[in-house]
Amino acid sequence: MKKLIFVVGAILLIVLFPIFTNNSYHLYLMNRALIHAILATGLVFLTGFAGQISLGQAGFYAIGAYTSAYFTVKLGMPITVGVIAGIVISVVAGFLLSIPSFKLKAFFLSLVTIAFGQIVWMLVINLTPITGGPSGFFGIPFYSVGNNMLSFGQVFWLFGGLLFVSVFIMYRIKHSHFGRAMLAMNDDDVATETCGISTKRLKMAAFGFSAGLAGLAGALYAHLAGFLSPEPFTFFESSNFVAMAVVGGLRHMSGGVVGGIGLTLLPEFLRFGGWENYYLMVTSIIVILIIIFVPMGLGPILESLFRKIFRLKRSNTKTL
Amino acid sequence: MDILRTENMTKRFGGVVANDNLSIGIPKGQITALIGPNGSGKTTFINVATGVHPITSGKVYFKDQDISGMDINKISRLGIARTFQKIRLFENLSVIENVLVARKPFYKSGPMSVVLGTPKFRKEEKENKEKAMELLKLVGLEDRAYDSPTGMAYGLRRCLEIARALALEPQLMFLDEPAAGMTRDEFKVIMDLMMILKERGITILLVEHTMDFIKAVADWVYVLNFGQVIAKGKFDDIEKDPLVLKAYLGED
Amino acid sequence: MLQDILQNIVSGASIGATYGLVGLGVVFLWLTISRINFANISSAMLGAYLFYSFYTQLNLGFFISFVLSIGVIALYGLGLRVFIYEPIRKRGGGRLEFVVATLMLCTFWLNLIIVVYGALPKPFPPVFGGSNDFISLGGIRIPSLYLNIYLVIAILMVFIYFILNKTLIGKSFRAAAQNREAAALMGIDVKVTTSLSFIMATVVVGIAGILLAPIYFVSLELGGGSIGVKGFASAVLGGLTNPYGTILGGISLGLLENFSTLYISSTYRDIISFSVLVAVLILKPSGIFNWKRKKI
Ligand SMILES: Nc1ncnc2c1ncn2[C@@H]1O[C@H](COP(=O)(O)OP(=O)(O)OP(=O)(O)O)[C@@H](O)[C@H]1O
Ligand SMILES: [Mg+2]
Repeated sequence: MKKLIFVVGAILLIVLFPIFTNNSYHLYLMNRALIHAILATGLVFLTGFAGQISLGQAGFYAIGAYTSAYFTVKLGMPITVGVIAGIVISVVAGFLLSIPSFKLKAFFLSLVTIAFGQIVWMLVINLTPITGGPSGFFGIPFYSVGNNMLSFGQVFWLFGGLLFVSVFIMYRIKHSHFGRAMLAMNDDDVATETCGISTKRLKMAAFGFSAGLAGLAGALYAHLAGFLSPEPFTFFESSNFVAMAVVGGLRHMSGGVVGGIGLTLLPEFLRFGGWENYYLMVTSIIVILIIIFVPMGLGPILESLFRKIFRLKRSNTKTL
Repeated sequence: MDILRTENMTKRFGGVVANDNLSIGIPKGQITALIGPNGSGKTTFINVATGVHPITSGKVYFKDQDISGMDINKISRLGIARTFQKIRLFENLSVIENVLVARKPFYKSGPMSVVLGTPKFRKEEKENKEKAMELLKLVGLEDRAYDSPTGMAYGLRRCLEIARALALEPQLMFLDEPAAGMTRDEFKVIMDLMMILKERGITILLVEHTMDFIKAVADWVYVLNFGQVIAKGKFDDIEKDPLVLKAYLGED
Repeated sequence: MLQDILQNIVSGASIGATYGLVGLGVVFLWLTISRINFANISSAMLGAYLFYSFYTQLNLGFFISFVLSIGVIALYGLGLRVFIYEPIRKRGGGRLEFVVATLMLCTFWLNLIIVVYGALPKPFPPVFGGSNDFISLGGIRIPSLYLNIYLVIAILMVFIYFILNKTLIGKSFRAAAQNREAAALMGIDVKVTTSLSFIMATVVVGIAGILLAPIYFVSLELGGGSIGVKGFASAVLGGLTNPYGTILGGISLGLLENFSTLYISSTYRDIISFSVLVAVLILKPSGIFNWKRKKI
C-alpha cells in the first residue's frame, strides 16, 4: 500500500507536467522518458522480481517498433492495431528467449540475451525490405484521433496512462500468488519447484511480460519519432535500459519509473548545463557512483522522502 | 500397501554410486526411518525420489504411478512434500508468504482475475491466508507471521520449512534430518509434530541420526551403507544387526 | 584456390587467436572472483589508443611505447579492483551491480576516447609490417603482419604458461577458484590474487587491442560489442576456466568467420560468432575446449 501511494504520487506529478511547459522539445523528451519508464518497469519485473537477466531488451524494443511501423505504413493498419501487433510479436519472442533461461543462469543467460539483441539488431540492418536498413524507415504516422493529430502534451497523458497501467498490472501481479512464486524463484529455484510450482512457466511469463512492455515501448517510440533508424536498438541501449532499472531500484515498484525518467533526463540536463562534450561520460560516471553508493536504487530513497512529506499532511495513513 | 516404492533405483555422480540398485518401499500411513552413516546416500534417495536429481537408472513409483524423470513441480503436486537437510527458505519473503508459496497450486485465479482483483480471487487469497495461518499455528509460528525468516532461531526456521511442506497438503513427506542441530525442547516439538502428522494420515520418510528419536517414532527402519540397503525391519531388530553395528562402528 | 584457402587459414587463425586473448581477460577474472567484466573489451581500445599516442604522437619508439601502454593498462586493471569491484562488494552489491557498473564503464571509455581523440579512426603505425609486406613460404605469400601476431601471441602464451604453472600465482589462482575461504586459510592473500587477476586480465586484452589495431585501425570498434562478444564466445568455448582452450576457441571462431565470409556472405559474419556462442551455451555450457575440468 505504501508503495502504491508513492507510485500514485509520482504519476500525479507526471500528469501535471504538461501544464507547466509548452516547450515542445521538453515535452518530446518527457515522452521519451515515459517510454523508457515503461520498458524499465518490465526489467524491474524480470530482474528484480523474477531474478532473470536480459541484456537484450533493445531487441524487443526494436521488434515492437518495426512491427508497428510495418503494420501501419506497409499494411495500412490503424496505430492501435500496429501497437498491439508489436506487443504480441515481442511477447512471442520473449517466450522464445525464456527457453535458454530454463538451463542457464546469471552470466551465461546474459550472454544469450546479448546475442539475441545483436541478432535482432543485425536483422534490422540487413532486412532492408522490411526495416529500411541503415537508411531508415520513414513516414510512420503520428498519434491522432479521427483526423486530429494529438499534441505532444496529449501524447504525454496517453503515455502516462499506459505507464500507470503497466505499473498497476505489475503491482497486482506482485501481490498475488504469481508474484510470491516469482520472488520465491528469485531466491531458490529448486525450493520453489518443490512447492509445486513450474519455474519454467514462471520464467516464460516473466520474459513474456517484460518483452511485452519493451515491445509496447518500441511501438510507442516509432509513432512518436515518425521514423526509425538502427541506432536506438544497439547493445548500448540494452545496457542503458538495465542501468535504468538498477538505478531506479530493482526490487522497488517505482524502480522502472524513477530510473527510466531519471536516466533519460540526466544526460539532457548535463548537455544543456554546459557539458555538451562530456555529458555521456559524466552520465556513466554518475550511474556507477549510484550503483556503488546506493545499491538499493533511488526508488526506495525517493519513497521515504515522499512519505515524510506525505505524513506531514496526514498523520495516520499507516496500513499493515 | 506401499505409497512409494523404488525399483533398482541407481544414482551416480561421476564415479560415485550414491544410490546402488535400491528397491525400497515406504508403507502408507506410517513413519519410516532411513538411517546410515554420513555419505551413505540418504539425501540422494530423497533428491532422486522428489525429482531434484535425475535418476541414473531404475524406477520410482508413487501410488503405482511411474514418477521417475518427472519434473519436480509435478511430483510435488502429486502430493509429495519435503524439507531440505540444509534449510532452504525464501529469505526475501515473510514467514506467512513462505507458506503461501506452497499454496500456489491450489489457486484457480488466472492473471486476468488477479489484475482486475475479482471477488473470486480475493476470496481465494483470504482462504489460503487462513490456511497458511492455521499451519503456522500448528508449528507455533503464528505471531511471527509477518516477520522475515532471516535471522530467526534455527528451530523456528525448521518449523517454518515443515509448515511450508504441509501447505502442499501432501500424502507423503520426506524430512531430511529435521531435528539436526536442535535444542532438547525444539527436538520434542518436532517429535510431537510428527505424531500429529501421522495421526492426520500423512506418510513420513524420516532421515535422522539420533537413535532415541528413531526409536520413539519410527514404525519401520531402512539402513543404508555405501548406497545399498544393508538392513531393514523394526528398530529393535535393526539395533542388534551385526552389519549395522559394523557400518556404524567402522564409520566412527 | 589452394592459395586462398591457406591464406584464409593463416589470417583467420591469427585474428582468432587475438579474440582468444580477449577471452583470456574474461577467464582470468572468472577463475578468481567469478565475475564478468563487461568492460573487458575496453582494455583493447585503451591499449590501441595508448600505443598510438606513445608511438605516433610522442615518437617514443616501439619498445618504450609498448611497455608504457602495458604499464598504464596494468594500473587501470588495479584501479578496476580498487575503485569498482571492492566498493561494490563492500556495500553488498552483487553480480548484477558489477555487471551494470562495468557496462557503464564501457560507455564511459568510449565517450572519453571520443572526447580526447575524436570519433574518426586513426591509422595504426605499420610496426608489425605494412599492408604490402609478405613472406613467402613454399609458394604461399603470408602477410608479415599475421606472422608477427603469431609471434607475439606465442611469446605471451609461453609467458602465461610459466606464470600459471611455475609460480605461486598460478597456484593461488587455482586455490582461489576452488574455494575462497580455504584459499585464505592456506595463507594465500586473496587481495593480491584478485589484484593480479585484474591486472593480467586487462593487460592481455590491452595487448590484443594493439595486435588488432592494424586490422581494425585505432578505432572505437576496438571498444565495441562485436569484438567483445567474440572474446566472450572464445572464453565460453574454453569453459571460462581453461586459458589454452580459450585461445583454441578464439582460433576456431576466427577460422569459422573467415571461411563463412569466403563461402557464404560477409553480411552475416558477426551472426556466426553469436550463433556459436548461443549454441555452445545451450548445448554444452561447460565449454568445448575444456579438458581437465575440475569439480568444485
Ligand atoms: N550433487 C552431488 N554431486 C556429486 N556428488 C554428490 C552430490 N550429492 C551427493 N553426492 C555424493 O553422494 C554420496 C551420498 O551423499 P548423500 O548426501 O546422499 O549422503 P547422506 O547419507 O545424506 O549423508 P549425510 O548423513 O552426511 O547427510 C556422497 O559420496 C556424496 O559425496
Ligand atoms: Mg544427507
